[in-house]
Amino acid sequence: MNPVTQREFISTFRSVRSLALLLIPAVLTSVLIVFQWPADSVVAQSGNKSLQVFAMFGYGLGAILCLLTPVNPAVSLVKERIQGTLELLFHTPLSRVRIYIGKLSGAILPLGLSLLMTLPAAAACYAMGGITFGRHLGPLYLVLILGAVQLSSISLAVSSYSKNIDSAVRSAYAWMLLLVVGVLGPYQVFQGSENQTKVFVSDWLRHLSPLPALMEVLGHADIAGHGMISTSSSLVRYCIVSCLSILILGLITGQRLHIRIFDESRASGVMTEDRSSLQRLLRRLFFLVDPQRRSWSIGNWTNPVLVKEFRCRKFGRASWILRLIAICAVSSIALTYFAASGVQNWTVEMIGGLLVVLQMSLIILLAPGMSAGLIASEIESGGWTMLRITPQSSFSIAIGKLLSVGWTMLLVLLATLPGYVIMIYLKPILEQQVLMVVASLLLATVFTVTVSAAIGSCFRKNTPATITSYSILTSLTALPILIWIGRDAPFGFRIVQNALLVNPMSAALSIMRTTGFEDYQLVPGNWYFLAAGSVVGLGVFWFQIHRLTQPD
Amino acid sequence: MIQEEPMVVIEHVTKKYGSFVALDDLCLTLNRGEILGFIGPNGAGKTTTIKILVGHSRPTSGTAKINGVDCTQGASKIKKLVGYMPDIFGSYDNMRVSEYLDFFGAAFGMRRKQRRLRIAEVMEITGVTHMKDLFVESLSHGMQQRVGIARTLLHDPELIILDEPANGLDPRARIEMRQLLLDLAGRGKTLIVTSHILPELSRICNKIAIISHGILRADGPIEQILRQVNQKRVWEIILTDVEKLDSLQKFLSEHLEDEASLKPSEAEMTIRFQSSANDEEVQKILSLIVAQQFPVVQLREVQTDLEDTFMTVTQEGASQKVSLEGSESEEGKVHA
Repeated sequence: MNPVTQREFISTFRSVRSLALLLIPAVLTSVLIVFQWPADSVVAQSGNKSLQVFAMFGYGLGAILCLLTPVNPAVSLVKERIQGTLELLFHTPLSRVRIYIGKLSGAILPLGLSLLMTLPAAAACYAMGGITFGRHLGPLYLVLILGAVQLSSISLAVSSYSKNIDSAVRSAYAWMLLLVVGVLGPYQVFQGSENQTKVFVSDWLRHLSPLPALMEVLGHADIAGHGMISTSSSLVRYCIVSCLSILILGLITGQRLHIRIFDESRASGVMTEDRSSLQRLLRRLFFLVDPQRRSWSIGNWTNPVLVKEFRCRKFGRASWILRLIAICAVSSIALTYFAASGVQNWTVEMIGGLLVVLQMSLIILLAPGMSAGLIASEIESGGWTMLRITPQSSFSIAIGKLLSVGWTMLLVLLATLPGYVIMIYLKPILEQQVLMVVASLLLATVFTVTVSAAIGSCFRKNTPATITSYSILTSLTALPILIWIGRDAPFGFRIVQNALLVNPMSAALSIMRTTGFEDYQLVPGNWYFLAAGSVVGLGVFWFQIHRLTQPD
Repeated sequence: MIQEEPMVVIEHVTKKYGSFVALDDLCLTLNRGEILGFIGPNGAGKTTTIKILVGHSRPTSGTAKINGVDCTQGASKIKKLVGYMPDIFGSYDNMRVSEYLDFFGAAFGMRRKQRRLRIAEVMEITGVTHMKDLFVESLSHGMQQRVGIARTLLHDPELIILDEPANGLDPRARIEMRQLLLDLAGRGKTLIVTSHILPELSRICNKIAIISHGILRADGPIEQILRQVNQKRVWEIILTDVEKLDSLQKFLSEHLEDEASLKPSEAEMTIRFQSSANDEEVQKILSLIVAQQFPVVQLREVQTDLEDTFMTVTQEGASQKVSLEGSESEEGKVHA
């Protein structure tokens, strides 16, 4: 057996947390099946009920796998690199192919076990009738397995390029989101276009995502596929595209598994001020904010912790924040442009919904990664000991740390406002609605930041803090949406309404009258929940900092 | 004459973690301008003592004061009085050395103008000016140690506590570090330095404290401790004929006290012995050796150093059988 696989696989079973993660899919899907199991002895011959439950089972399993898969492979290589064991591994006679296969199988095998444990729930679906192995169960597990391998491959590739754990986890989730949802976008835009090349490329590109294939297997229309005739099977296309992507990602990661990745000189630290006049002039032209300029001293009335947090974060530097804001602004304006052009018959409400989802995706992607490690990473790096010996009060530390994330998130939110402004211009009647949406999103941001900071402050290591925070917040966002997907059956109106009350983005979608959310009255219930959660999060975070600054 | 208040006073400090006693009735005093070498094996209680001094840990009983301020009650005053460099650097990602120092200066409440001047000054003192634009996480260990000291000096503390400052330094950097510490002492700073490199400490410290199993085994001026711990002098006889080694060993055992430990070495053709005999007694033994025509070329006293002292004191501590009589002089104390 590959020694790397052996070590990775065994280490999974040494940790109670990993074992718990393995059990999550089985437990959740079993609970779902138990709740939906027919109470009477008569089963409908049509199999509609079982197909509904099977769809919930499939989507649930898919969502859980998407949430769980990136964690281990994203940490896998970068952790070894930081600990120095990767260098030792390169000095063994193991080839890079074996190391890669070992790492990949080490990530996939536990997921395989997780999937195996869901078989009883799948068998229960089968027993309900209307489901066949060849048309339903087999293809579902094929898509899930391919999806797990694909997400593991991309997370391993991310890990091989990352230099610290939290950026690896954050980037892996960003890539996951791009792969599962982002690749569907171009086809939405280009379908029906006269340019056949664009249609062809975007059609194949969307099959990088397991979602169209999953929807086809679960009996729903292939996502983004319009029209009466389906020209080809999404499942077959997904098998081809995913295998190709796994191979390419393997090659990308494989070429990183070499001792030369350690052969890097230290940054020379040449600052713009020390360059020639011409170079200074060029940099002045090309950089709005030059990252190589010496920074100003911290102001007398500025919270030093706030500035420190911005400076020690790559994306906290002004140059990166500006880039992020630019991307957000361009995306929001582009989405609104599509609405205005009317080419795709998208309504303003649909665009508003997409904007909300885009913003929430950004919030969920960025906020936990930045807030969860506020304390844990400081403790882990030894910086907390240094911070403790300064006269900074626990209140000042808490405010500095929270504001450092809060400001970034606020800037990201503000960057999407141009889209909303165009929407108001297109449909002035929406002004009140848009303002409420923005208020909802602000509240959701505060909630996400404070809750993930509070969760992270309960840990002493950055990785579990970040992972737990991501898991809880993505679950809070994704699970109610899963329940919402089954809003007509198997879940009733009241269950869906209650589930959506705890979802940070549902109020915004409901206010925007996005299709499927119009009937739910989520304001002010959702706002109360978010406000209460924010207050509790803030209290826990401040208490934890206060406790950690006191003598042991 | 007004006697100056000691800088550090630790009185009967005990620290327990559950049933484990990390520090047991520790008493220690340090005057202004002194350099204390705080030594002990791993897990002896050095870091616990330092944590109590910097206000990171609360003693189970007893008190620790710096400049008359209680370390637990007056945490904010202690932070201004003490400059602490732990054994880990505590780096931040993506921060340049100048930004790193700027942050700590601001965190200590220094005004911007004063901070800029002070940063330039401490960078000059510690020799890190040329590294000001480098990222702290990319520095070598030795460079980080220098930056760590610069950070410690930023707010001009009266007491400087350095945990293993010479760790990972190359010989040149170690010499420079030694000089730097002596310079700081010359500026009137009080220093507490822990290190496992004992010859280094013996060169810079004017006082040492040896701790083992949470108990202070010895403290006082370095010469006093050396003299008191090594009350038995170590002698070495060098022979020219290895075959006479056994007979000389037998001869010595007959003429020295019972406790004198004899250590012959065939490879080096030497016999070492530890004896409480005074110079006259040793001279008599030497005369007898010569009279017996043993092929001796040299008899010399072996100088003991801090390492020998450390080994003696901590071994006794480990076995919980302190063979030394508890002796005490005005300056140096060896605790039984």
